[in-house]
Amino acid sequence: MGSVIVAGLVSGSIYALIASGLSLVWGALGVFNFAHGVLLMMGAFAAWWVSDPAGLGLGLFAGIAASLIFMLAAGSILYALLVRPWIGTPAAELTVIMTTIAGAMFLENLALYTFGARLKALDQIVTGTVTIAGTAMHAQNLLVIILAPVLLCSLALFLKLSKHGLAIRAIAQNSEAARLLGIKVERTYFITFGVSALLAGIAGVMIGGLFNITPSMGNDPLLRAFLVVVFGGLGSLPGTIIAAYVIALIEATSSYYIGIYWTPVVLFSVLIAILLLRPNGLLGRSSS
Amino acid sequence: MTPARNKRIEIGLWIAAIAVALVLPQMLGTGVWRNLAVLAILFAVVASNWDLTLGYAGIFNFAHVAFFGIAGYVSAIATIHLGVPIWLDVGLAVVVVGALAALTAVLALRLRGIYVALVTFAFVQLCVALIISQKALTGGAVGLVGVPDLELFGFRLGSDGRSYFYLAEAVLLASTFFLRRLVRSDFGLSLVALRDNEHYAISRGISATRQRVLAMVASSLFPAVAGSIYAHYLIVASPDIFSFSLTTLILSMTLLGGTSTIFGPILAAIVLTVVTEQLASFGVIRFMIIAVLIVLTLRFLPGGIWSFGERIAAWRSRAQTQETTS
Amino acid sequence: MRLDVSNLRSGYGRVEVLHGLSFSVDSGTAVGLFGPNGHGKTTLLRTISGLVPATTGKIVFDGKDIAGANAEAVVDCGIVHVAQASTLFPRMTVLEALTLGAYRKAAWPHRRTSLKKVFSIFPRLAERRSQHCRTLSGGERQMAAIGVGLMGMPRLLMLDEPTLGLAPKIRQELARQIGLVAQTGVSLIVVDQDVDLLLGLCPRLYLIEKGIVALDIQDRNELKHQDIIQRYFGSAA
Repeated sequence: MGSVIVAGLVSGSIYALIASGLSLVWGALGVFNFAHGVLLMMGAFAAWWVSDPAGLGLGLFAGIAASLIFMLAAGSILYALLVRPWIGTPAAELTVIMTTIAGAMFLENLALYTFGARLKALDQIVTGTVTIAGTAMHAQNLLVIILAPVLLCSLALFLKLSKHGLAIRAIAQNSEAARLLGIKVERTYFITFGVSALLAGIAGVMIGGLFNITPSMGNDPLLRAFLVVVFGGLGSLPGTIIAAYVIALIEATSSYYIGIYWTPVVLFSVLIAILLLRPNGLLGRSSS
Repeated sequence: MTPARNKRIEIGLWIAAIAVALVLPQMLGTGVWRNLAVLAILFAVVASNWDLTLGYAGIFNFAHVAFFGIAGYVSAIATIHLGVPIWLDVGLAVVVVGALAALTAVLALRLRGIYVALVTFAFVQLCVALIISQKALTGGAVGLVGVPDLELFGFRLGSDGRSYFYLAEAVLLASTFFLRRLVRSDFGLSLVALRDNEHYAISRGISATRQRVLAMVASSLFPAVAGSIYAHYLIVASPDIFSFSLTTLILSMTLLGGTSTIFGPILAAIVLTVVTEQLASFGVIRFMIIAVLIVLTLRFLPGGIWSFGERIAAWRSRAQTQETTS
Repeated sequence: MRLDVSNLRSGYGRVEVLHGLSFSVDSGTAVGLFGPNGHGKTTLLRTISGLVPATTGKIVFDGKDIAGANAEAVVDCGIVHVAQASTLFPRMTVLEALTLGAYRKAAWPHRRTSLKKVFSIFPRLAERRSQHCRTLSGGERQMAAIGVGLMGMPRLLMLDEPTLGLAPKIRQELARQIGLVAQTGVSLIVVDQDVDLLLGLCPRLYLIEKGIVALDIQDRNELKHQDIIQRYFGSAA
C-alpha cells in the first residue's frame, strides 16, 4: 500500500509540473503546445549530455544548471518559430497544434539521430533508500515528492506576487484590459513559454534520474498530462495540480491491483465519467 | 463562369478522373509503385474524410485515424475468429466504426474545442492499450495475421498486382463523390454555419449536437471501408496503425492539402506518401524534413496546396478579364 | 500636456467610423464627449489608445504624433484608457488588479503612493481590496477600473461610459469621485450618455455625431442644457 502511495505521489508530482506548464501557456496564449513532451525530453538530454562522461562530463549539478538555462532558451525559440507567427490568426488554435506536432516530430527525430535510441540514465541527485512510515523508497523519490510541491508553490507565488506573473494572469483573464495597462504582451508570451519549458525540463530531469532517457520519453507523460488538464480544467492551476495527483494515485492503485494493461482503460473510464458530469473538468471554467 | 458551365466542368473532371483511374494501374509498371499507389489512395480516403470534421465542421477529432485502424481490426477479427464471410466483414467494419464514431461524438462533443482534441487523442491511446493487452483476440503487439484475401467471383484480388489498385481507386472515387455532395448539401452548409458562428446557427434552429454527431459518423464511413480493405490487402491488422507518426502524417495530408477543400487532402496524400517513400533511405532525417515542410507550408501557404492552385486559377482568370476589358 | 487630434479617420476593416474627427484637450482640463450610440465615441478612444489603428490623421500628444502607435507605447506616453464596462480581471483581487495598474515603467516605482491616492478617492476599494474582481458590484467595478487606470499615473485619463447602467445614487458618488480625480491634475476625457454629469464635470464638451465633431461647446454656460437635448434629439429625428 505504501509503495503505491509513493509511486502515486512521485508520478503526481511529475504530472503536475508538466500539466502546469501546458495550462500556463493555454491560459496566457490560448494555444496548446503539443511539443511539451519533447521539451521534457530535451531537458533530460541536456542534463545528461553535460553531466555524463559520454558527453561533456561536467558532473550532475553542472548538467542540471545547464539544462535549466537551455530550457529557457529552447522555450523561447520554440515560441518564436512555432507559435508566434500564428498568434492572432483565425485558425490559431488548430494551426499551433499542427506546428507544435511538427516541432515535436522534428526534435524527437533529431534526438534519435544525435543520441541514438539506446537507453541512457541520469545520475540520481541523492542516492540510497529511505524508509518512512514503514515504506521503503529511493531517496530520489522522496526528493521529487518534496521538490515538486516546492516548485509549484514558487510558481504560484510568482504568478500571484511578481509583476510578470500578474501580467501572465492578466493576459489570460482579459487580454484587452491587459493591453490597455501597457502590459508588454509579446514579452509576456516569451516569459510564459520560457517558464513552461523550464517546468517541462525539470520534469525531464526528474524522470531521467528515476527512469530512463530516450528520445520518445516525453510521449507517455504528455498523454497523461492531457488527461490531467482535461480532468482539472485548462487554465486553472489549482485544478491542474489536484488533478495531477488524483490521476497519478488512480494510476498507481490501478497498476498495482489490476495490472498495467488495464490501467489506461481505468483512467480513461474515470475521465469519461467525470466529463459526463462536469464537461469543463473538475475545476475548469466554461469561458476562457 | 456560370453555374451551368461549372457543372459541365465538374462532370468533365469526373469523367477525366474515372478515365485516369482506369488507365493508371495499367501504366504503373512495378509492384513497388502499385503498392505505393494503393497506400496513397487509401490514405487519401482517410485524409479527405478528415477534412469533413476538421475543415468543414471545425471539430478537432484526433480519433479519425483510429477509426481507420479499428475497421481493419474488426475485419480481421471477424474473418479470422468469427468466420464472417469476406465483403460482409467490410460492411460489419463500417457499422461498428460508425457506431463508435457516434458514441465518441456524443461523449466528446459536449466539450470545448481543445478538449475534444485531447480526449480523442487519449482515446487512440486507449485503443492501443486495449489491443495490445488482448493478445488472444488481437494478436497483441505483433498484430493479427491471416486476414483473408478479398475475392470477386472466385478471382482473388491479391493474385494480380492491379486489383487492389482498382478497388482502392473505386473507394476513393465513391468517397469523394459522397463528400462533395454532402458538403454542398444543406447539411454541409449547416456544418459550416455552426463552425463559423455557432450562436447564430443555433438561433436559426440548427441542432449543434445532432449535426456534429452526424458529421463524425459520416466522416468515418469511407475510412472504415478503406481500413477494412487495408487489412485485407496487407493480410494483417497491426497496432502500428494507431501510431502517433501515422496520425501526424495523415493530419499533415489534411492540413497541407488545404482544409475545407476535399481535393486538397487527396493531392497531399499522394504527394506525401510518395515523398515519404522516396526519402526512406534518409532514415529518421526524413521525418525532420517532413516536419520542416509542414511548418513552412503552414507559414507561407496557410490554405494548403489546393489554395495555391486556386490562387493561380484566380490570377489567370483575372489576367483574362483584364485582357477582355482592356 | 496637450492632446490634439486632427482629421482622424479610423474604423473596423472596411467600415470607417471616424470620418476626419478633430478635437483637443488642454492641460489639466476635463473634456466631455457625448452623442448618439454607434457614432464613434468609443472608436475614438480606442484609436487614441492604440487598440484600433488610425487610417489617416494625427494624434499629437505633447508634440509627438502617436497615431499608429501600439497600445503599450500609448500607455508609456501617459495616456490610460479605461474601457467601457470592463470586467477587469475576474479572478484577481482588487489589490492585485490595482498593483498591475502601475505596470508601466514610470509608474511602477511609485505604486505604493499611487495606491494610497486611489484608496483616498475610492475608500470602498480599500474595503474590498482582498476580494476578487468578479465579486464586485457594478459601481464598485467601475471604481476599481478607474482606480486601476489611475495607478498608471496617467497624464491623460480616458473614461468610456463610467456611469453606464448604474443606479442614480452610485452615479452621483462616482461623478463626485471623478471630480476628485480631475482635481489631482490629471487631464480627463469622459465619454458618457449622461449629459448632466458631463456638464457638471467638464468645462468643455464635444458632441460626436456620424464620426465627426458636430458641436464644440467651449463654455458650458454658453449653451443651456435644453438646447443640447434638442440638438441631440433633433438631429436624430
